[in-house]
Amino acid sequence: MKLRGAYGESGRAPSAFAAIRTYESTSGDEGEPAVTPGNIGDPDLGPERSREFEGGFEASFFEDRISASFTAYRQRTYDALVNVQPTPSNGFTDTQLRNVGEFENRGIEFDLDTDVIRTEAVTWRLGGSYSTNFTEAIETGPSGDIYVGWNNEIKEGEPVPAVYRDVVKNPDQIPDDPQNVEFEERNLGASYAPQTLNLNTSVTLWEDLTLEVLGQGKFGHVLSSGTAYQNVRREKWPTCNDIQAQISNGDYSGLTAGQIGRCDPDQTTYGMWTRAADYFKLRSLSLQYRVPDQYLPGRLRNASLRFQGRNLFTITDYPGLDPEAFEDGNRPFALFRQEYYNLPPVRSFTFTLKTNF
Amino acid sequence: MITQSLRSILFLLTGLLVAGLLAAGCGDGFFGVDNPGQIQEEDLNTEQAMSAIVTGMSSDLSAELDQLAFLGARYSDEMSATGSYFLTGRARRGVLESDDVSTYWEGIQRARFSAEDGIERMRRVLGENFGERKEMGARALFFAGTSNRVFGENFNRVVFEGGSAKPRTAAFERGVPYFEEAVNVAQTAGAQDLVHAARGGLAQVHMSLGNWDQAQSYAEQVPTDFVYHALFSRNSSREENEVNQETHERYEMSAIETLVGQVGGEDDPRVPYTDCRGNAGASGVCTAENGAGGNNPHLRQEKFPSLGSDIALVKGAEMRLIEAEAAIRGGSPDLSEFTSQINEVRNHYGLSTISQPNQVGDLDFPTTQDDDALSILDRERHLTLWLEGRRLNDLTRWDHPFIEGGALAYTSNIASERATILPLAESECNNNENVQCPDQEVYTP
Repeated sequence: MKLRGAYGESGRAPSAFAAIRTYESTSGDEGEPAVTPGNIGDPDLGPERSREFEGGFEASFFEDRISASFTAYRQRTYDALVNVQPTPSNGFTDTQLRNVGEFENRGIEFDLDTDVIRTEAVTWRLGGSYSTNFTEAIETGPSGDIYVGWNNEIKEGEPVPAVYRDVVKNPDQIPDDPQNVEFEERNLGASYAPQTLNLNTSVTLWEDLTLEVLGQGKFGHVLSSGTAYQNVRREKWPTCNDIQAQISNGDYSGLTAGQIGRCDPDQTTYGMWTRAADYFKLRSLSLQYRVPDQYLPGRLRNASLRFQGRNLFTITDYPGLDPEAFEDGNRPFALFRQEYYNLPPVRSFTFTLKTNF
Repeated sequence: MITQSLRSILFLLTGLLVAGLLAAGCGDGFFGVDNPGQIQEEDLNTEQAMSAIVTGMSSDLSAELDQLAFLGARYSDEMSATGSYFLTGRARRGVLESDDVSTYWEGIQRARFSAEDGIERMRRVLGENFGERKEMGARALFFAGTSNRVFGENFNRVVFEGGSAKPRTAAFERGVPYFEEAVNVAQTAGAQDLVHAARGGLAQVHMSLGNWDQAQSYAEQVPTDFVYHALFSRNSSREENEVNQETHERYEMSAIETLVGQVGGEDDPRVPYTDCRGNAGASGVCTAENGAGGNNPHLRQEKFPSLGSDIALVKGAEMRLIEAEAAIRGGSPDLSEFTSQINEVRNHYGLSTISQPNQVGDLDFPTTQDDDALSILDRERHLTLWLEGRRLNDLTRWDHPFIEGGALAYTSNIASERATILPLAESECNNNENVQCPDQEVYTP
């Protein structure tokens, strides 16, 4: 077993041009060259600084059949560089890089690999990793809350950033006025997943046939499904069909505020479709067969066949297209995400024949 | 021998390459720069940059004007929201909150800043009176006045340079000196179209301020056939006309169950539309019979038939309508003068004249059958300025009964209660400590 400990400081400089006021080239008057306000700039812009403590161990047991490593860390970032939206009435609408305050990241990283069975005929390996990265805004500077776009904000004591949107006040109650359900803005959770889990296993029989499985998951964050929200508006979202059929007849009887807030095309909000985006995916499953030497034709030195499937299934309660289908908005905001007709990682199948002469 | 041949071939190829580079360098193609990327502000402080700065003002204004025309049409009684965008349902119910309008607020703020800041730069570089570039200066001043006019006409409250919120009249007042200077500079430059345009702008802002004597006096100096456009083109997506995009490329709003749906089409050249019912598919001109929402017939506007169709900023026809309105404001309305001005507009468009109304009357909703002066004025402004981003201002300054939402519009269930004017945007509230937005910003006259 080895014990580890470290302390480090680092800095990150702002990008070129970030501090100065710039204009962007564009066109107007039917194709003539033009300029339009770009980056408002910040003459006080400086580097952000980070300090990090970490400690942990690496260990192996039973003749290296079990190996593990563990790290815990805490990082403070001072004068953090964040793209924020400038005050629109100053005329510049692109995001502005600013030193906005003090953030903290803390978490653990844990890896475990085991040889469950190790014989000449069978080898079975099982492993995985689990990591966390919890963020918190310790201080946001004199400007207070920092709006980073698309209803994502950085507020003291909250994740960096968190999603703030309108949701119904009492989702489980039958509302007094179902055509005017009461909404309120709430912190719906972190935009970025603070927990990551990877699991992998492989089984090899007689050194020729190998089955490998890899699963990956992220947990603890939320994602706005623009696709679901828009299609509820269009009365085209399957999970709302029954409720919308009832509402279209003017009948709100028995419907809770939550059901109305989600499915009434005239009342639903983005917030009602901003939901936990936890998922676990079977990322890869492959089967490989190494052709034994005695079956190889004369000139071949070796040959193998491999079949691999990727993204075979997903376990999630996320109601949109896919918890991994997201964009970062249509403007250069760096910190927020939403799902809006984005393609998820595709399911694919690959067959490979590999030979050496 | 082989080595010598290779050397000769390499020498020949090198010579051809150098000759090719020199030849290409003589044209714009090889060494031309298509997009220089970010430009430092100080690099714009040259006379050579002034043209790009003024074109930028024009571009920034056009880029937002069509967006506001589109949004305003859906939220006023100009068009029905029959599409599939997320604001469609809200538009049908007249719900419009601070977080719905941030991009529109930012766009018109950029246009306003682009013009006002550009003018200051022009004065620093060219001189206080724009030196030899007076026509360019007059155009810049017109854009500054017009962006303030558009700002005030579309938003309930206005904010400048991170300050506190002010009534929208502050934007009209801010526009006045820009227009006044534009008239003077354009006259010096001999640019008569800009003189007319700036006088038209003055008539528009004085109308919204209720300064009827000044509005009338500026309006009467602009000929009926005069038009000054915001320019659009198919050169780039930013330069395209969004109203066309949302009615021709997409079917997001329709003239169904609007005033235009009742009186427009082939009967009034101000408000042309195509009825897509039975006119879609291989044998028709429309791509579908219904709007993108799938439920309501698409009456496709044809006022802007192309992505490059321009939108009028100032029209002589509107000046006559301002004169008509001025004639019935105050204690002794002149219905004869009112009728004369209205009929000049109708003659201009080849329409039949109207008889003199018996009374000033009241605004009603809907207005198609009423024959009092205010209802006629309402109808004529509606049709003459259709889809030009002007209707919300009229509804608001008249406190039009439409904005009370007390009745369904034009017979059916598509259009019901509507919002009147855009609220102060959430992105300003979130980034300006001098401004607070209520949970739901609503219009307060």
